Parts: sequence; C-alpha cells; structure tokens
Amino acid sequence: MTIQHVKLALREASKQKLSFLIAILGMAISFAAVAHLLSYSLYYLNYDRQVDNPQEWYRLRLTELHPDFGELNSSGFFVQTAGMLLKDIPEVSEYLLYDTIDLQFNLSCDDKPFPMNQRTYVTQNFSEHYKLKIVYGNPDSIFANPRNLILSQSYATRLFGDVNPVGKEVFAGPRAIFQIAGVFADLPENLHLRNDIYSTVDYESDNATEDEVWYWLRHVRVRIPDREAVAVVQSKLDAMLAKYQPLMQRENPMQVRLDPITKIHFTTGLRDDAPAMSILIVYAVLALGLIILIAALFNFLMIISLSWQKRNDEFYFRRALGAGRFELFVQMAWEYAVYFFISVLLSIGLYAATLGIFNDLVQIDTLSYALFRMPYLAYTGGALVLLGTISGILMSWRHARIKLDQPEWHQFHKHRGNQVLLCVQMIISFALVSMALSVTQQYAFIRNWDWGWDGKNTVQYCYLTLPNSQIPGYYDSTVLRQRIREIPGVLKESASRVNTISTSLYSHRGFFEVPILLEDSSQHSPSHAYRCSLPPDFFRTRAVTLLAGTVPDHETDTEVLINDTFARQYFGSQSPLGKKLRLDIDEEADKWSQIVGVVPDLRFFPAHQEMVPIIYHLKPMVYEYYQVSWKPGHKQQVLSSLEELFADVVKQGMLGYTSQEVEHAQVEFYAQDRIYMNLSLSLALFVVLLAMMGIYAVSYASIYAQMKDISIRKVCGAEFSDLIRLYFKKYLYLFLGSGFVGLILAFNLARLYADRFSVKATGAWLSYPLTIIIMAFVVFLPLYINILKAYKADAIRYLQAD
Amino acid sequence: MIELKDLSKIYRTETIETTALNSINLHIPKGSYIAIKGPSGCGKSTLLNILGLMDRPSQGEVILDGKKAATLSEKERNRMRRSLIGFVFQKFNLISSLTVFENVELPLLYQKLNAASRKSKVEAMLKQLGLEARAKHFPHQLSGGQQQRVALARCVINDPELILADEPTGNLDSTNGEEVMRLLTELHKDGRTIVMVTHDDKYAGYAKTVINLSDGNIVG
Repeated sequence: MTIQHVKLALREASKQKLSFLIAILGMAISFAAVAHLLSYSLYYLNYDRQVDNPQEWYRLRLTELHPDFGELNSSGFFVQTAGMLLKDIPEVSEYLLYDTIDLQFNLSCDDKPFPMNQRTYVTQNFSEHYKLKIVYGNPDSIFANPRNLILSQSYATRLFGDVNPVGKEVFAGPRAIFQIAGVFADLPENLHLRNDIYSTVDYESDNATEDEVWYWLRHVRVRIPDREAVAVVQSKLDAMLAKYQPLMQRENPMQVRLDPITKIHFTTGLRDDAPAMSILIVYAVLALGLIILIAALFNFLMIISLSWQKRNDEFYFRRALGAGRFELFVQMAWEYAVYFFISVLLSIGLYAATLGIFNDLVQIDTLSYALFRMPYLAYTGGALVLLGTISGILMSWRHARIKLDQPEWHQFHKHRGNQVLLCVQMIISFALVSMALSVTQQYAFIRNWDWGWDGKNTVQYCYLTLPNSQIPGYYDSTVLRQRIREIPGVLKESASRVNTISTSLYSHRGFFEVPILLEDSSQHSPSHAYRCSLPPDFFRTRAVTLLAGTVPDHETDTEVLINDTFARQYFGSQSPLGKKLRLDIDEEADKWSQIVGVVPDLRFFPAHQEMVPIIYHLKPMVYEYYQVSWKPGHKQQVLSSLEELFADVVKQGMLGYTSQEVEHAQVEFYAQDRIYMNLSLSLALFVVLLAMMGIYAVSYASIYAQMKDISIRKVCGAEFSDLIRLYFKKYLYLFLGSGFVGLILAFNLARLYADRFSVKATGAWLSYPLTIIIMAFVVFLPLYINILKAYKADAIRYLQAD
Repeated sequence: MIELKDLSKIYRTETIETTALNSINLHIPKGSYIAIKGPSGCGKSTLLNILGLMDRPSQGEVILDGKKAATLSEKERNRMRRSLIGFVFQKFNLISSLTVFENVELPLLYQKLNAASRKSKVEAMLKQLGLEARAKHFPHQLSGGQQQRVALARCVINDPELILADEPTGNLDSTNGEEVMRLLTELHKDGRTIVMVTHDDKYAGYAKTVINLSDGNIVG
C-alpha cells in the first residue's frame, strides 16, 4: 500500500510537472538559503565563545559620565592596574590583559623585511585561554620572555614558507630586538582578540598610587565563576575608581561595566574599539531566513493543495468505494512526505554545492558553522523532520475531509485556504522587496556619501615623521612631501596628523578628546570636543570650501578652525568667527586660540558614528598620514614610485609604513552592510519569483475551476477587458491588504538597518512606491496571462461539459 | 437574417478527420422559427455554435445580419453576440456563485448599462417569467424548470433578434419542457428569430420549419 502511495505521488508529480517543479525546487532553494543564513548567523553568535565557560568571562569597560555627552564608553580599563586591583577582589578567579600596538616598525629577519603592522601584548595565560595549538616551539616557554614573538601559522608560512622559524631573530637596524619563539595554528576568525603576532609583557604595577598607571586603557577581561558575584565585583571596582580618581586626571565620575564576552562583538558605540557587528543585522538575517522559509513553505503547501483539489473526483470515488477520512489522510500524508523528502534531498545537494560560493560571498568563515557539522546536523535534521511532520499532518488531515453528501459548491472553502496562504506569501513579498529596496537605497546613499573632502584616486600612507626633523631615526615631513610631489603622475598630495580614513574616533588615529574653555560663552565650562591636527594647506588641496571665515596661509597655534557641528553646538545662531577658546585648560599659561573659520562636517570616520564637534589645530607636531592622489591613468606608476620612495625613506629609521587606498577603505567599512544588502536583494528576488509562481499557480487553478463561468460570460458578451476587470478586482483586495501589512513590516525592518547609521538616506520613501509597482507586476502579470489563456480557450467545450 | 454558404466544419486530430458539417447552404429569414433535428453527433450543436459566432467554420461563409462573420474581429463578434444573439443551453449554464438577479443581469452588465436601468429591466423580466420571488436565490436552490426560465430571462434581457436554443428541454421533465417551449413560442410571436436544436419531434413541432441533419448534411 505504501509503495502504491509513493508511486501515485510520483505519477501525480510527473503529470503536473511545472507546478511540482515550482513547489519542490522553491522549497529546496529556500532550505539551502536558510541553511546558509543560519551558518552566517552562527558565525557571529559564536563570537568569542571558543574559551572554556565563556559565560564566566567579562570584559571591563570604563564609563565616564560626561555632563555634555552623557555616558562616554571605552572598551578598555586601566591596563596597568588591572592585575593589582583584581587581586583584591576574590570573586575574580582569573584575568587576561590584551593590548594591540599598531605602530609600524622597520624590521628585518633573515635579511628580509619583517612586516609587523600590529603586535599584540598579552598575559601569559592567553595561550591557555584560547587553547593555542603550538605548531613550533615549546608551549611552556613561548610567553616567558618579553622579547619573544609568537606567530600565527599562516603568517609564518607567508614569511618563511614551511621552514620552522623558531629561534630566528628580528632586527631593528643592526640590533636584534625580538626572537621568534613559537608558531601557533591559526585561531578561528570569529575571535575578538585574533591577531598574527603576539608577545608578552608584564603590565602589572604594584603601586596604585603612581599616577602614570592610571592612564592606558586596554582590553581587560576577568573570570567570575559565580554569576551572582558580578554585581559585587562591579561595586568594588567602582569604589576603587572613586578612591583613585584624583590620580587619573579625569574630572568626571567613572564607573565600570562588565560586558559578557559572548556579547562584546555586538557592543556598539564604544570610542576605541574595533568596528562591531550589529546584533540587529544578525537577527535580521535570521528573520530573513524565517521569512524565506515561510514563503517557500506556503508556496509548497499551496501547490500541493491545488493539486489535491484538482483530484477531488478521485478522492470522491475513493470515499464512495469505502475509504474513510483516515485512509485518505494516510494517502495524502505519504504523498506529502514524498514531495517534502525530495525537496530536502535536493536542498542538501544545493547547499553542499553552494557552500564555498556563499563563504566567498560573505567573506567570513561560514564553513566552520556549516550545518553538516555536529551538533548542527542533528538540530537541522530534527527541525526538518518536525517541520515536515507537522505541515504534512495538518495539510493531509484538512484535505482528507471529503463528505460524499457535500455539494461541489461547498468546496470553495478550500480555495479560501489557498487565498490565506497566498495572502501571507504576498505580505512576505511586499515586506522583503520593500526592505531590500530600502536597504539598497540606504547603502547606496552611505556608499556614495560625500565625505566632505576629495579622496578619489587617492592612497593614504601611514608613516610617522616630524616637520623639519633633526632627530635621528625620524624623517623630515617637509622633505618627504616634496619628494612625493616630484613623483610623475601625482595630482595632489596632502599630509595630516589625523588618519583620514579612520574606523573610529580614537586617539591612536589622531583624534583627541579634549576639554575646552570658551571665552564669552553662556555654556558651562569646561566643555568637550575632539581635536585633530592638519596643516592649513589640507583644506585647499582636498577641495574643502569653508562655510565661514578663512584658512590661514601658515601653520599656527593661535588660530583654529572648527567644524559645523561645533559651531552649531556651542554658538547656535551666533557667528563663531573671532571667538576664542582654550584647549589646554590645565596649563597655567593663558593660551587662547581664535576661531578663524568654520569647516563643513568632514568625515574621517564611518557614517555609523554621529558627527562630533571638532577643532582643527593647524600646526601638527608630527605628520603620520600622507594622502597622495594620482592623475587619471597614472595609478600604477604613482603607486610603484610611492612604494620605492617609502622603502627608501624607512631605511633611515626604525619605523615602518603601511598604505591603504581611500575608496577601498570606504568600501571595507561597510562590508557587512553590503553583504546584508546583497542578501536582502537576492532573497527578495527569490521571494518575488516564488510569489509570482504561487500567484500563477493559484490564479491558474482558480480560473481553470471557473472556465464554465468564464464561457457563460463570454456567451453573454463579456470581452477580455470585462474578464480582466472581474479578476483584477478580486486580486486587488488581496494586493492592497497584503501591501498595507507588508509595507508596515518593511518600514520597521528597514528602520532596524538604517538606524545603524548616523546619516540617513534622503528620499527613503522611494522604495515604497517602487515596491508597489514591482508587486503589481508580480501579482497582475501572472493573472493577466491566465485570464488571456482562459479567454482564448474554447468556450463550447466548457458549456457542453457536465 | 442568416445566410450559410457552402459551410463545412472538419475536426482534425493526428490520425482522424471528422466532418461535422458538410457544405451546408441555408437561408434563415428574419422572424423565422427553425428547429434543427437529427441524431447525436450529426452536427446540430456545431451548426448552432457557428451561427452564434462561438465557433468558426473550416470552410464556407456565414453572413449574419448582412455582415460576413469571417471578416469580424473578436471584438465585433463579441459585440454582435451581446446585442444580436441570445443563447439557451440544455444544461442552463447559470453561474453558480451568482444569484438569479445577477445571472439575468449579466448581459446588461457587459452592455455597460447603468445600475438603475439594469435593476428595472431585470426586475421586469423576472416578473414576466414569474421569478421575482427567486431573485436572491442561487441556481442550486431552484428546480430545473426554474433554472431554465432564468436562463431564458438572461437570454432575452438584452432584447436579441436571434435566439439560439441548444436542446433547451433536454434536462427538463415534460411539464417544464412544455413551459419552456411556450415561452420560446411567445418570444417568436414578439418577432424574434429562433433557431432551436432538438432531437425530440414533439418539441420540433413548435417550430415553423424543421431541418433534418444527418452526418453533417441537410437531408430534409
């Protein structure tokens, strides 16, 4: 009997090839898509969980309660005092310190350059914390000496090939300053503290009363085995902060926050942390997966339901021949199981075939979280069985309800069920299309955002120099700028103390948060702003037109420029020109600077961050960043000449250099946002196709069932336009109803995305009318085709048929 | 009113060719009442469908109200069906989801008449056929005779000159059959042309002219 049911299922599928292809393939694609989205989400949801008992570890975060800016959050804590303080807190069983130095050094090893753009200092328990697998070197002693460098395997292979590098010395000029002590197997990509070069240093101070130890804020994590003790640790640390505050040169009250490390990757709004991932994006991706699954499942249910409705006669006969509801249910359930099983098999193939493609597309290690791995495989299998069983039972039981005394016209309630499925599918389509368009619009807006300065065809070099330097080891910035200008093909060059393509407002990148005093201001003083240093020629070179005032033609300490946000925040409608402010309020010298110009809000950091009041100091003490633009067609020539130049320049000192193209950096800022946009767009396209196919199938079935009515109307003189009006009207209610709900849903989904940015796309409402137009095609085009087919069909056949 | 010249209809499949109508020549003057008789499959309904512009001949010419049917566009054929022709079927062909009122109203709807005119016309027609009490009923709530009367009401609501009836009594008992024939006769007396297909001699007797069809040929 079972074989009979399976055979019948396959026979029916082969009879209605197109419908079943749509249903099964749609379902399989959606399963595969959802599996990819789950891998993507799992990658982020497992961030920093690769340690034992991750729920027991917390990062200490210092929070300053600022009168103007509210809570100012830093991702770090006073690194040098951390160990000392924590020894006094017995609730803390362990701690880990971590500090990345991103100063470039001019180093060599085996007479070859040894690039070291970043080095990470860690406490010795780091190895145990992440269970480093040591490939070369003695695990017990790799962190024993501060001179030791421990390299990741990929980094070591890049520099030394397959040779064991342990014991090799790293030189700064003629002096050996490091020794390679170990090589570890690469850490997973989803680690907050992942790096290629580690070394150890003893940060601990034994004297909390030394004011210099209350300076550096770095990554400090503690282990608190007892969750109840977290509040106790927090209050003890707060008390210590209050006690030692006079040593900290910070006038605002401070508190400590304990961030669970399983969540720190999603903690946004910190001033000095690596760019975080928005948890909302992860949830939104999961929601997209759910939506896709619902859309495909409903499509699947709808098509199977229609195929059963077409076979009503067969089921009547079976009933007449003695089959009860249960027998029909068993038959239908088997058929459903066959279709569902084929979908699952197909989806496994699709998923396996596209694993690598998806991994490359999203540029994160989704392979480590592929659903073929345990324990995900077990969960996925269970979920699929559950989904198939529940949907199959519900569908089959409902459709098996056929009564012999039931007149045919009573069957219309089953069509109503399809209408509900179709309505949900259309709501999903409306929501997803609108959201995808909205997200695309927001992304395009951010991507093409005018940063306020001309960074097109520009590369930025990072190399620390001093103006008119006589200090050995430091290159003269004036000479360097002159040498850059002399490179053939260079269009313009500028230099700055501040990193013009910074990922955040962070003092290491040339932004300094400073207290300021304003002369003649009604504002309470001191106030706060960010200071960065640029030479006056930066504005002219980078085509920045001032909003008011002028840029001095010489470097100066006594004249400053402010940005528009500063002007609006502190001066309102008044002109700030000529007003004076003081930056070094603790200095005794009465050193005031005059505001001589207002600069538009330049962005040297991503659009996620709110614009802050900025003071442009016009006499950099050092020049660290060089922006060089090339003439059209001279890119390769300029870039290779710059490489030669900087390679020559660094020979004279111990510092190294890095470079990055400005436009490339901007694209990198928004990599995750771009991926989310691409996911939304491709999933929206998939859902639209599903909806289109679903509407085609439902309208085909509904029109096919009414062919006799249509023929009667034709005999009564109905024209094609009359039929169009009749059926379009029916679907118009569906269109309007689902559109209303779908667009509201889309509005809220899109807002989750857009709220990440401090700047919002103008004309964001455009996505909604565009969605209505697209969806009108999706709904009415298949309907139009079906009506046309029905109109052209032979009416006599239906009028004479019983 | 209707002129058929050398009219043939051939159905072809890959292997079989069936001649439903074979070189039919027929003149149906305005105001005539014709019954087409013949055994099943002789081509009666095919002929009626061609007359009603529902089907196209394989060969020959149909001239309806002075116009060559072959030259009419789909729109013009619709228009002629709407204004000139009324149909009555053996199986009533009422739309099950519409009420009696809505079924009768259908041709007026496609003539784009306003709601008030439609209402008064339909009400008058239902009253004339004794169906006013059934206006809000659905077809499945009516007897066969009542359903055929509704079909007749729908057929004549737009005052067609030509009524094509395909076995109008085929699904009715004799009382209801007689009633339908009485109504058709009254419509003929009003000046309408009636072409009726039947295989029943008794009902064919209501017509003024009887045409016998056999294997697609007029035999008498």
